Amino acid sequence: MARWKIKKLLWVCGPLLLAAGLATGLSVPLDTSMPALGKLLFPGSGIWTVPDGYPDTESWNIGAVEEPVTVFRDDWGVPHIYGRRSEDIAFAMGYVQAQDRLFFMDLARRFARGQLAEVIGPGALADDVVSKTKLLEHYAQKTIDHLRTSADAADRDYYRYVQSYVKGVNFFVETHPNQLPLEFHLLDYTFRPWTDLDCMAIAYFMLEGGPWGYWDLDRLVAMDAFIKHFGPNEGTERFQELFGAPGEGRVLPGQVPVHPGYGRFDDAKAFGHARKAAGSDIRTIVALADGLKGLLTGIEAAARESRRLNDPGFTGSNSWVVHGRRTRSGHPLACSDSHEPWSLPNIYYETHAVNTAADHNFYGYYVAGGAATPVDGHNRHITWGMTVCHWDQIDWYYYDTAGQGNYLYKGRAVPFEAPITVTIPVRGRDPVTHTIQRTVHGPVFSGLDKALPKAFRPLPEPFSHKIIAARWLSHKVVDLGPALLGMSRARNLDEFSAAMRGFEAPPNHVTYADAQGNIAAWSMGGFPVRDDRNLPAWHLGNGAMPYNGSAGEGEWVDMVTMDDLPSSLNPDQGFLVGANQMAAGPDYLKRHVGQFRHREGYRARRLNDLLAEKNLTVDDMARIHSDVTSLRAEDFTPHLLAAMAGMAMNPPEQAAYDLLSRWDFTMDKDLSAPSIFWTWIEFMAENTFGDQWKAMGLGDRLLPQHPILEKLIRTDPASVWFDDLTTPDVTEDAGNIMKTSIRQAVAALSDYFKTDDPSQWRWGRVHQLEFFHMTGELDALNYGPVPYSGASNTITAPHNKLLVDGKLAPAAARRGAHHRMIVDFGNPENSRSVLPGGVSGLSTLGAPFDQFDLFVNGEYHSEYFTADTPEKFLEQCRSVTSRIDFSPTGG
Amino acid sequence: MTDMKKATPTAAGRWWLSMLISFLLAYAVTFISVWQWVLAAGVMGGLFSATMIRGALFTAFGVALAWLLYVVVQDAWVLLDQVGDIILGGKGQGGLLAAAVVALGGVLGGLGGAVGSGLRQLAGGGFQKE
Repeated sequence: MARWKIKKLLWVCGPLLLAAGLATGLSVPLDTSMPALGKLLFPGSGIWTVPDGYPDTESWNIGAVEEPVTVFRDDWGVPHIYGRRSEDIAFAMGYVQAQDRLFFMDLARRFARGQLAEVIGPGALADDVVSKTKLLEHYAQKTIDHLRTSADAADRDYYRYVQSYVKGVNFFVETHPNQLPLEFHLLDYTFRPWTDLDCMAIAYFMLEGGPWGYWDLDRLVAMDAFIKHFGPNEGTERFQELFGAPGEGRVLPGQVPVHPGYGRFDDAKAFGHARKAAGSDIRTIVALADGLKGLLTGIEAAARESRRLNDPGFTGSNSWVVHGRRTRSGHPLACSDSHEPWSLPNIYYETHAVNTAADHNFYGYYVAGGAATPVDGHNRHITWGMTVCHWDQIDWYYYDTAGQGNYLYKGRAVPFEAPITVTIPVRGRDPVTHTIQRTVHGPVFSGLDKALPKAFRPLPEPFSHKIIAARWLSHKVVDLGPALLGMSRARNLDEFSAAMRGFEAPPNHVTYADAQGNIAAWSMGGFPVRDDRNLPAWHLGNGAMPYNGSAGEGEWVDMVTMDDLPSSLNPDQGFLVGANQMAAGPDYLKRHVGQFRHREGYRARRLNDLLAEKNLTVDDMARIHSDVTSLRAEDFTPHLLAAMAGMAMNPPEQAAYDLLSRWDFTMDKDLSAPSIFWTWIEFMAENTFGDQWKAMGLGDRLLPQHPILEKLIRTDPASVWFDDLTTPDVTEDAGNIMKTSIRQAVAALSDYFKTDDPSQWRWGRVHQLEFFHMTGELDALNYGPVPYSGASNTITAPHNKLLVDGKLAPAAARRGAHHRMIVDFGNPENSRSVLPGGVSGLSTLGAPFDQFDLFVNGEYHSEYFTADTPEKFLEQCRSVTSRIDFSPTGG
Repeated sequence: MTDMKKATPTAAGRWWLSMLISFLLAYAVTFISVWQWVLAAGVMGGLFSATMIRGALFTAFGVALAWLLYVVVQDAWVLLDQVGDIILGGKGQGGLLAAAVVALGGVLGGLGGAVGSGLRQLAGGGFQKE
């Protein structure tokens, strides 16, 4: 070869090697869960295929529908579906949900079915192991099998409905193969076809959200700490002083139950009841507590369970109905606003669905992926809303082992139930095989270290030989879907309550109103009656603590179901309120009313106050939805002012005092008094209980609720809880702690705002809302933070915390209303809704479809509910943003 | 110097062809979702350049222009800002990200073009002084 050719070849090799190197570098994934940059960014693929809007029109001729279906999207992108068969409407709903929420749906099913690690990698394996162990997927499959073979027409009807929905989802995906949302490209995976099991697993995931928990275990660990710290008798007494005794019907002060017909609680008798613990019992509880701490530490390896454990029990949903006697129109008004951790896309999906042949005109909210089954909404005849109620539907049991493959149950060695073996795919790794053992009560959680030794720990000695299992009411076939579908089609009270019979879980207060003028409420879901005979003296009974399964404690001997659950119909007071408070007063089945987990009751009290007015209108309902008056502040502030009046104040403290004195207790973002109060109350709680909790080795879990603190200040200011353990020579009382706390609060606020002028300490600067992307990682897709009025105990109920380790370090509120709806039976056209985040989960769509401005400003959009035909919709809608026509093949 | 003079009319006559071919092929590649083919677009464009430097320059320009046009036509600035924020951190990085994408397209096209023109010379037997 000529020299020049060799030279040239070398010249060519240079750029060739460079090109090959660059191409290779851009083709290699950044890590196990991130795509290669070239695939992500370069024209023709990756982000460039992400859909950024709705097509103006689409027309499909397909065999999956038997009658024509038309979908219009209104000015907010909300789909309005018109069809003549419910299955066809379900198909269209599957299609539009996939168009809007494909990533949400996929991640939701992965959460539910324990398949996160397949796309996220080993970091999510602990979550998958726990999800699988909860048997969500297992019982979702059982429910599908039941629906498929059921003799009940409603079940079969629902099964067909689900199948149509699934076809709709998959039809969208098949016809839009290269239009995956951004998140799929960032995580570098693709969408797997949707199945009926995915729908049902998401339903179980929603079922599990409220009732599943580890409170029983936490309570026992806390009681053990109390006993070690105070001694057996005083420890038990002190524990019950702060946390009550469910079996005795003692509840938090300030509770106004949902149902007014079961008497009123006497706050003077709230909590404070004591039972004595015997010596031998103490040995048991100490051994148990050590083991349970080990289990809880292991469970915390799963990120979702860790959040559940360490940020427990926040709920803030409201729903209420007002009788025509109290409304200006003389017809009922109904409102609901469900609260969840704020996430993007929104967990709810808003749809107007009209079956023109069956006269079903329904506007409501769904969980995307959950098979077109509404969570709440209204038709022309009825409406309902829901808020979590706290029937305890889960119990934990511990057993002794009894040789290989056996455990001790009621004194006999019995074999485990047939194990369930699952395979969990892991991105970049070999799949993990996990065998779920089951006792007679349910799945075993004490052996998770065998599936994932690096994440979970074996139980510590002397508890390592114990088995711990959970029994959950929804570990069976649950007919919630047919029930909700039936409720959405009901035309009167009888049809609604008949449809609701299948509603065993999750526990919810259901508020109802209808066009005939009725208002009603049920505290649905049911709960077990436990055999609490032969419990050790320390055990609180009623499912509040783990049971000794080997001794046969705590067996479920009966169920309290719909006929025995508290309910109300057209009460004299003219309204009904569900706000996560106690279901019923002391006259209702006393041993069951004292559940631990009901909320503090401030919102319920406030709603009861506001709805006691007359001539209420839709505008009043909107005003109440956005009400930010804090009854917690109203309860505590007089105590604080009284304490401050007796102290020598520096100028900023005096200015803070003046602001608090003039305050009307509204947590307005433009006021400064809310900042002072909220910082003070956090210091106050920390200064009252923090030192004791630290001394007892307890974390931040199971801290007493604020009404208890207020009651202690009011009735027992010299309580042991106010004594500061770090000052052994001095015995502090409530007044001392209030003064210390306000000094700390004023100093912390001065430091944070860099000014001693309290008028500058605006609440909106330390209290802001932010909607986080559901992955928790993609902050660029978040909304906010923006200043926001309210607080966790106001009706708006955004939830955040100001103090971190004694310093003011406010995090954005991450929980609050996920939707708001007002239904006016006097003028259905006046019904209105808002869904922060909007129906579309496509990050590219943005305003105006996202409805954020509406939500933040306390506004709503029209539902176009009275548009019960396509023609009427076209007449009424300001701007039709998209139209889809589905026609049957050959039609 | 003599070679250069000789080559000039030919090279001058082909630079636009290099650019046009690489531009058209690079734009066509955006429809097949396999970005690595943009190297081939560069190589093809480079075949019409007499020198490797010219091949690299003109095909780089052609491919960059094709990708720039693609970016402009797509009008995906909201998305670019979001992805820019995710990858680069900070708001309003969409323009920078787009510029980086176009520049990388140019680099890839240019490398392909250099290879293409080099191959042309190897195959044709001519040796153009650089």
